[in-house]
Amino acid sequence: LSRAEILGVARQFIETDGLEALSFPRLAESMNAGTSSLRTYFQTKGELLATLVDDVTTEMYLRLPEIGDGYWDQEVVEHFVCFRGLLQRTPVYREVFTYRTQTLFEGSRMGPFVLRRLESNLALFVRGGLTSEEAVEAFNAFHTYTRAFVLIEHGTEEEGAQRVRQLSSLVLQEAPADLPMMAAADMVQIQALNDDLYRFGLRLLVAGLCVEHPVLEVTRASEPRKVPTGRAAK
Amino acid sequence: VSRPDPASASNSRRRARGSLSEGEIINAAVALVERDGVNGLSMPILARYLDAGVMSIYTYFHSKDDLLLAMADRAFLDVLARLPPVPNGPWETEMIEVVTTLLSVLRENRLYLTLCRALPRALVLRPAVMPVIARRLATELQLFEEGSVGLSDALRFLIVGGAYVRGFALMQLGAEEEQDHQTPEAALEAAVHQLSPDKFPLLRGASNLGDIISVSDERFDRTFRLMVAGLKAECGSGPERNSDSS
Repeated sequence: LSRAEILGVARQFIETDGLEALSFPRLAESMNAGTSSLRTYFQTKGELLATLVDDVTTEMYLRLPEIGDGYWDQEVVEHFVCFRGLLQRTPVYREVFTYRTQTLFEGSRMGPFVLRRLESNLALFVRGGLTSEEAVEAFNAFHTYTRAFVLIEHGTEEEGAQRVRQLSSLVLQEAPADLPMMAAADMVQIQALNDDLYRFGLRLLVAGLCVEHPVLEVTRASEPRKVPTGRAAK
Repeated sequence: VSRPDPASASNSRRRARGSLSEGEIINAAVALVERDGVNGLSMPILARYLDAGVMSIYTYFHSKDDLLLAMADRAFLDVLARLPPVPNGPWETEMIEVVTTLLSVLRENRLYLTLCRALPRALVLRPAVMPVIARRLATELQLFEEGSVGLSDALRFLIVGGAYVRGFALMQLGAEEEQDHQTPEAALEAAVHQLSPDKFPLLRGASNLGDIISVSDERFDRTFRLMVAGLKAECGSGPERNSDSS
């Protein structure tokens, strides 16, 4: 039995059964070992988790592309779209980033590498004109939005699309007759949570930030908006 | 075998086959989950608790997951029933009100969150809750009347916002479970404190460092307000905006 082996199995365990189900007895059982041999490497489940989280985080941040030097809003969107993709594809990332965020920052384990990524994340908003405190808030908004979205998306992906379609047509039935129905077709087309909806949320956050901090508008990539048409230009 | 034990005593009082209702099973399962957590629930344990045979539970629920989903439906209906009616003011303020209330009601209803945490599939809106959700959404959509925001964008906003609230409530549940740990604020500050101020000017300089990954109510409120402001700016076509551009 080696330390790396235990971590590998624990990780697989999380991928299939989730973080909550992880326990020393169950882990020992699946490794055909005793809990006491696990304890020679990790005293507590907390200690095992902390090591695992540390590995997972470092690995995940390594897989995120470096932030480029484009317009801040484009880079923000690109960064978080990548972040979402990684969370989506790798269950252990999703578990850790949604349910164990505190452990992420625990102790002095967190490598300078991860901190460097955080620093460059903040720098992105500062590039747009925010102070470091405002950058922290802005980062939090995008980060929590992405984590929350992925969490719900994961839960609903199997049957979600069909359900939301049903839901949309039900909304139409429930809607009062005088509600303008011009968007009826769009409403039925709206599927379960998907890339398009995720990006819609990102767009709202970017636009909201610009309203709150007008300085950001100036450094934004998109053209200033023209006469509003009443419908979003797709 | 002849040893008297409580189990055999209760066996003799076992219910008649078919006397068990679906509602009773769900009630008992809820009581068990509240006492022992989702992992403590199993069909045999539940049957013993109800003094019934396992088969009479399987009549209604084919698996533990089926049962958990039915419990989640009921818990979510409870959440929806506790929401005050959608008020009829300007959409910006009302949406913030609606969503803030939803977050706190969700958090009070730990059962729903606990079930979703254990079985993510419970997050899907199933037929049992669908009509209620649809009615709710239709009422919320009415807030956007008068063409303040296109109906299609308004619905997208409601769906994205709804996902954000439920996901946020789940993350808050995760944060609560971690309370035996050092707070992230303290941990992050300790880690950042060792960094060079020249190479990490922002992390070292920010006085609100702990907010970086925080899932506090305050963070939720701030972020949701950004979304609302964003929706207004991106998709709104209020009269004041038309006069701006003309």
